Amino acid sequence: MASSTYGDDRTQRIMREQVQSRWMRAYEPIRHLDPILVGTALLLAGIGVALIFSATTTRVGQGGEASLGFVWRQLLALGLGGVGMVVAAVLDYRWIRGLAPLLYGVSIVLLVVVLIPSVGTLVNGSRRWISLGGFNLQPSEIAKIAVIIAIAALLYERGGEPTLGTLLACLALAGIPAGLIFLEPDLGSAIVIVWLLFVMFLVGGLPLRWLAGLAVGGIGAVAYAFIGGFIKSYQLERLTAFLDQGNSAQAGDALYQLNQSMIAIGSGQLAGQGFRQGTQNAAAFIPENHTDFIFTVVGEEFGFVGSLVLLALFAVLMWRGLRIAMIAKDLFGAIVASAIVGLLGLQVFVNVGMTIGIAPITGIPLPFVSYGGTSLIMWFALIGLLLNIHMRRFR
Amino acid sequence: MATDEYSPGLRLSVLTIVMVGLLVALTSRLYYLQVLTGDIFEDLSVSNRTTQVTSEAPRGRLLASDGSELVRNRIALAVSVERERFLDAAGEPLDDPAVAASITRLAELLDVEEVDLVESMQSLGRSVFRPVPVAVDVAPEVVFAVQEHPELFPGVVAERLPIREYPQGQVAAHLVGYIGEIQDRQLGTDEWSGFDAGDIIGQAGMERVYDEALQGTEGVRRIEVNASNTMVGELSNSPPIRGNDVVLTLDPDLQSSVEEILEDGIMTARDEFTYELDDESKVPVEATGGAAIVMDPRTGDIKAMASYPTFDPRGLASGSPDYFEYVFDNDNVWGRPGLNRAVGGTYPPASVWKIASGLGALRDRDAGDGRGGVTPDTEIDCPASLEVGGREFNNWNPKPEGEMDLAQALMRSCDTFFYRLAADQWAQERAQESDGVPVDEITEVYGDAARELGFGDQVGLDIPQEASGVIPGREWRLNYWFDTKDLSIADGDSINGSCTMANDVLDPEDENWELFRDLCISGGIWRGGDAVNMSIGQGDVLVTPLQVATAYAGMANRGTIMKPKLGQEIRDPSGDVIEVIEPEVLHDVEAPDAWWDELQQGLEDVVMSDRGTGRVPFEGFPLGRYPIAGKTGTGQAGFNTTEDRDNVPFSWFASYAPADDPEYVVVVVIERGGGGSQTSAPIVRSIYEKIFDLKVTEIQAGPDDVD
Repeated sequence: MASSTYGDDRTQRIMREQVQSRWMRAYEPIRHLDPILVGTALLLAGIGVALIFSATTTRVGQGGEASLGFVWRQLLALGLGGVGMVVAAVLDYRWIRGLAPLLYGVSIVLLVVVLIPSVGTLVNGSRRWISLGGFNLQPSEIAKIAVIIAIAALLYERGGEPTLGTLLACLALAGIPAGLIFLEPDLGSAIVIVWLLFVMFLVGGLPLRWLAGLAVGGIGAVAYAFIGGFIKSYQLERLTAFLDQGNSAQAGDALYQLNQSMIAIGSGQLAGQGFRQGTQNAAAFIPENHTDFIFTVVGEEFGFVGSLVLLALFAVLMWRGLRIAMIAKDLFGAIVASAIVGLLGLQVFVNVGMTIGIAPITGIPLPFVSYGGTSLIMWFALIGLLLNIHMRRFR
Repeated sequence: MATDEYSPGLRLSVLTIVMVGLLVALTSRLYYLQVLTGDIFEDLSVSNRTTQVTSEAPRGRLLASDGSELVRNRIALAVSVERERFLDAAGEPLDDPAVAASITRLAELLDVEEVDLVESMQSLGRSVFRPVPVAVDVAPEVVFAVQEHPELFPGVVAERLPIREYPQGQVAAHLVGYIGEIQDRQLGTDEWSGFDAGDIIGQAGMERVYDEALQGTEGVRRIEVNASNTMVGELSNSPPIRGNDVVLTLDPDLQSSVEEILEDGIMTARDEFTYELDDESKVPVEATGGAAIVMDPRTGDIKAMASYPTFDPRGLASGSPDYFEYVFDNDNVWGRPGLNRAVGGTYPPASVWKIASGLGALRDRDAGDGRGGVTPDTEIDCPASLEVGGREFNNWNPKPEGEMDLAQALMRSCDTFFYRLAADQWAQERAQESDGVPVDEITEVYGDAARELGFGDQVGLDIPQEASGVIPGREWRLNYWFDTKDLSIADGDSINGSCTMANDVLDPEDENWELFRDLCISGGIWRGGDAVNMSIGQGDVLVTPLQVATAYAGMANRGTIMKPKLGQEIRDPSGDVIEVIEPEVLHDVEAPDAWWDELQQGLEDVVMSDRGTGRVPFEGFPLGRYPIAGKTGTGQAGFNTTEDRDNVPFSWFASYAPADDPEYVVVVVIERGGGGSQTSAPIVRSIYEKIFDLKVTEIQAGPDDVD
């Protein structure tokens, strides 16, 4: 009867297999999603849609029905972003690592194609978009992902002990797209690529003295770009507007934009004017307040409290990202995750910073929030990548 | 080295710290902007989206004493443009074919050159929200065209503008003045603080003096705008309040009559009169201009004030530059219609000055050692000429007239009577000078008496640009000589540029060289001849007609000199009096009755005695009912001149009536008009005929051979 208590052999084997498979299933990737990461990303995107709604439909003194076109297009992009996130999460990131050369190649081709006058759409003097029947593709966004994966793959192969050859290869891998983006011209995105390179060198184990040398060289290169006249005067004006705010007499449109932006954000004070109650927003004092300057809507309508909440949400994303980098199964995952965190941190800082006068004015959107399909889809794809690394930390 | 041996943990901490640092930087900056300085940005955001639009308040009216309108407002149809729709920030036309096309269309509609149209757009308005008028007084069809086709004329609006209108035409043109945009040199001065570019202010006359009362309160509309300066809402709107009306002391009927009589008199003199010079040749009287004043001696109220030539204030209100040039042409002796000769013209007073010399003579005896001057009873000889300092000074009458008292001297206008008094007083003063008494401590009784009567300084009529005139004396002479002796000159004047003449121009062989050398060295000395000339209102004495009227009003009041005034009261738009401009005493001349009796007697005798110098022009005037006291004056002013015109004297007549209870002071001066009783007295007679409602006689020349 004792055997009846524990069952027969078959029963025991089934039970053992059940326990074993339950144990094994505990390591199934699908059981290791990061709901905080996904939830925060979706929350930010939702806030973004609401802000775009406020920025594009709250208009005084203009006739006609308010158009919801921007909101619908952003929601569509959000849907596509969801698909992108799932795809980026489901494919094993190590398999994606194998695709690095292809991805990199495609992005370089796109960066070249966008420079062809008949293909790239000319907006405000630069060619950054390829028009694909109602949808504008921004190759520089794709290039960011491609550069992250390509360099991470290379550094992974060196296993934390990169040689000088690795360093030069990485410089070349980052330099080609950065140079092409600079030609568009899109100074901001080019600088982002350089920053990504630094973050990945840091995490990828580059000796600190090499990093220091690169920093010095980088600063020298930037100085040369300024002195050598490679930076056009309007770019310089936008870049340096935040440095001479007291000197409004001789500054141009960029300073106007900055002043209007600071007035809007400052006038939000502690608690803000209320959703769709921002007068500067409504009276169209701030150009591009649904794209690059969307933070002005947060500042004016939700005040200091609302701004803090938004920054806190970004902090949560960075925290999750850094945690994933810490627990990643391999160096490739760690480098990719930390590059994504670095990209997020830089874009948030530069975008918010330019609206409040502590960073240069560049065309860098606020991740998840600014209107713009390519950016939104890219960011959800990056969230997918983070999930991918998180899910597969055991096998 | 296996892959697993490298751990990025430490490096990730560095990345974490960098990320935290970036977020802290953003947070602190946001805290500064939104919490610490948020209220400043709140204010900025309010000023960002609100703007003020002001609308001109209609000016108050200028009324005559009977309430009739001298100046009022009229509503004119105007076409205005919104500046920012046509011009860029620098004031240049926008580089846009649509703008160029609408400028072309508008120029065609208004029938002006495009260049002129753009120029009128460029004139600065106070606010970009206030349209700039480019055409005023347009035909109604033009307004319809603009209103019916807004698509053809974007940014063009039809407006109703208040414009100054003069229902009585040119009447009192010099007094009412005119209005105009505030000028650059006026902006920011104390007088015009609170005014901005583009504001309309009174630029002359009553419009200027009573500008504060006449200016209404401008309407202020606070509106909300968006970034492209399009109005999106109205926050508040206070409509403009019309300015107050200013009532003047002028009698409109008398004013227009006096203007007509003055013009008539001048025209008659130009056409018919001649003047006999010392060499017995006769020259035509050119009468280049003149002034007439009627004043109430009891209050100082100006009842009428005329200046000829005159102008049309409508011409100035129209803003025509040509008309401005005509009105203010200073170079033409016939011109300068803009000058109000009654207050701004200075002339040698000649014999009308003798009341000042008479008062001085009475004061001299009273205050001095009892030897100089006269009492009312003192008699002095009136010879045909008198030698003073080696020079002969003639009476106007070549025959000696014998002993006479002060009243008779005034009646006969005897020059030598006053020469003697002045020469004696000068000798006394000269003696003090020799004793070393400083120039500024020597009492000049004759100059002081003139100052008592209001000469030598502005008498304070409420109108701009009143002249001061000159009472010469030792100090004045010294300063004048010092200031002028080295001036460059074309041909020699009595003292101007004497050193230049002696040192640079003339040859020492020249007959006049010694004269100029003496003047250069000692021209600062007040000589006996100067004192003698001054005693009969010649030499360096200069007065305004207004000063003469004020002094004679003091004479009529037996010493109480009222400050002349043109403003009577200020009324609010509903007609209620809010301020009465009260009469003010300018100065009280303390003197015994006997003195006034003596002076009054003299002035009455001028007109009413058979031997009076002003008798002939008042032949037939009912002097029994309306007794007149007055004084003729024939002011010589010319030196070594070849122009006949300059040898014809300034003709004066100053008077008051009824002589026993004066209600009117009437003063007339005609530039280059000949003798006092020849030209001015007949004009004064016509004015009295108008005042007392008598039959107006034709103006006829009086005698040109009496003073």
